[in-house]
Amino acid sequence: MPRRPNCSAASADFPMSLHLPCPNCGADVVFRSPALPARVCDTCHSMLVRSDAGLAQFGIAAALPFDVSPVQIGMRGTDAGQAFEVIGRVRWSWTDGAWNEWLLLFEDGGTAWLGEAMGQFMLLREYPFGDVRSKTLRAVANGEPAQVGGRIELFGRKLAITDARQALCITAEGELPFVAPSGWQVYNVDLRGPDGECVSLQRDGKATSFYRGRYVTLAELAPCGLRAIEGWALPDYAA
Amino acid sequence: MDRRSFLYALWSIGILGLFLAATSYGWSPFADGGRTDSAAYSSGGHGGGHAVFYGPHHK
Amino acid sequence: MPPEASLSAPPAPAVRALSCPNCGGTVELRAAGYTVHVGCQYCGSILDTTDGLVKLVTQAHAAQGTPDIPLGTRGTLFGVEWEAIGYLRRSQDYYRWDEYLLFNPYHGYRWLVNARGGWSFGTMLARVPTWQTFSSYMLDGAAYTRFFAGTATVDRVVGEFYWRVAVGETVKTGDWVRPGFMLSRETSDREESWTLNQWVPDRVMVRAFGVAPAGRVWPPLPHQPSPWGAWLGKGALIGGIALAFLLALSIVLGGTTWFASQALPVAVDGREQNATIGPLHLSGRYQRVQVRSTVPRLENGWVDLDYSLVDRRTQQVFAASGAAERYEGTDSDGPWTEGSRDSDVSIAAVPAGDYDLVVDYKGNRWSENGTFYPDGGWMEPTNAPQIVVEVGTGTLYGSNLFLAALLVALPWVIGLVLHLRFEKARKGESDFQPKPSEGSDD
Repeated sequence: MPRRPNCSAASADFPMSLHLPCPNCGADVVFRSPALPARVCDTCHSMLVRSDAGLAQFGIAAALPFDVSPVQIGMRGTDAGQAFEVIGRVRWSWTDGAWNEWLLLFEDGGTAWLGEAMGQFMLLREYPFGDVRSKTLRAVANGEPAQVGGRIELFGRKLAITDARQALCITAEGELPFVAPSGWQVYNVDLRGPDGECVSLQRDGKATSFYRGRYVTLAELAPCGLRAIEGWALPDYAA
Repeated sequence: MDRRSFLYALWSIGILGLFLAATSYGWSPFADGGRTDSAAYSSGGHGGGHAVFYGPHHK
Repeated sequence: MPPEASLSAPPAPAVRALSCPNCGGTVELRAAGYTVHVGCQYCGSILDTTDGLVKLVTQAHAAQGTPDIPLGTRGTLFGVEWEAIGYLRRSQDYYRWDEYLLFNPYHGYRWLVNARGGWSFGTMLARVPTWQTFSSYMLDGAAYTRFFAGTATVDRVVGEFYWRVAVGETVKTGDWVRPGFMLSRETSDREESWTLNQWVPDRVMVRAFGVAPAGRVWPPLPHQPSPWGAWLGKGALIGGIALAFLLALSIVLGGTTWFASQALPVAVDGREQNATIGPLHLSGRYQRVQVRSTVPRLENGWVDLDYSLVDRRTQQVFAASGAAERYEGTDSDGPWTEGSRDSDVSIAAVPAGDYDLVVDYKGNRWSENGTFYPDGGWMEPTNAPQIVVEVGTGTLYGSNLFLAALLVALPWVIGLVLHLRFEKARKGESDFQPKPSEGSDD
């Protein structure tokens, strides 16, 4: 049974948090960690990046399309005993659909991504790609296309390539570790193992990011602060 | 216990009951012989009881 | 932002109404953000709603009719409320079935499959079953045996789906079953997905979604559990206990107590004789009287025996008859014997009392030739032919025990026969039939 998060506590305030006025509309925006230098202003939706030089604006994020996702910014949960809060989201689309990736911030300042597609969730943490020992994946990082159905062995598990697609960033909200401009294209490869473990590779022409994690159910994360949806009762697993 | 098992247990108890009843009467449908409806047979040398009436039954 | 904000904010709307660009009909979006293609039920056109706008993908002009579960219907299955948001009619060879896409924003998607009136509840798997043999897969410690393999085609699309569904699209399918569950694999050129389908009894579906009861589904669905199979174990336990009781009772109550014996001489001329054995005192309230006659010298002949057990007080008669016969000789196969020198008869339900046993008997010879007694047969006085009559009492009848055991076992055997019939019909639908053995050339 996952440990229930302390949902009544106030939002975690990190010692490195920075509160600044938005250069566009003046509203207060918070940057909780130097590892998360980018964010979308909640009021005017401009894309902001914080640096030593101050706050810079990088255009405006497109309006989020209407959806019935149960996750929302501010939702809290627990994974492997560690409490987290949802602080940001990027929405991606590809030729055959779209999905959300929610940014989770843990108590110790670490982050993870909660990928949400087709009602299923993947919890992924970034892993240095330099430590990934796979010829197939290195080839993909160098520009080769990935073969769906191909098998590799990684971290002692047999993984199969389940997806290889060109993804387009539609929009974003909240705090992010990078700027997510609309129109940004990445090549995304997903691999899956027999017990629900998964691995993801994202190549955007310049750099390659690598993530590893597993499929989770919302119930496993003991969430509180789930988004209320009209006509639907909150589930039993909601804290 | 589900209905089927309950009914089967009842059936088994019933059969056991019939078995015990038959045994207490020393009876079986497969016995070679039993009580006859015929009139009493006087065993040789032992008159007792009502005698058999042989002969016409009308006046 | 503080979590309390989610309580004060109004709940997000669940449904968004859109207009079909082809026919103008209202199309309701219940899984916005997830839904990729929607089939308009008024004109059959396929629409794209990935990014919140409605685009026409495939134009059509035929109204699609109403599925058995109208879209938007909600029902509770396994403790969670679901809404039917999509409907597919699919077919494989001559097999056709309905599929409903169920949605709950907090639980994701499930599938409801209706094949020949039988329902299944399907969950897409994030883990992959383990290949065991060419005919079985293992998932969560349970083995599944192959049943179907083929190609399925989509024939009709109504409502929302999370992929680019199109009429006529095909996937390679494979199904593996164990009682109550079917493991289905679908492979397209891009991906492979596994779904675990759980068989749902009719009454649960009627209660949840108000569907019309299907009545008897025959032949049974591939993963339909045998209504008798699960009971056979319990039944065997109950029957076994009953049989054990019967056996114990028989050991305790069985047997015969022999208490009287008399030797009756056999006349050489084979005339009818009688003798009376008595007094015989029967003490039990009711008992079985056993009369055993042994003819030690019987050879190629027989003895007719008629018994009358007469109650001294009431003159009630209990009658039985028997015969002892024995023959022997030699033929091409060697020496042979037939019959027995004993005759054992039982008289049922004799009440307590004092009795006389009247024995009417007659000795017969069959042949004088080729016997052990070349002097004229077993009845010659030099052979001292006699009948030893023994009388005994008991209560139990072995035939009763046999009959009772048979009756106790009967319902279980019926259950077994019904179970085997069910399984034969169920397996008969499989794509993987064991090959019939060759060689009946009559």
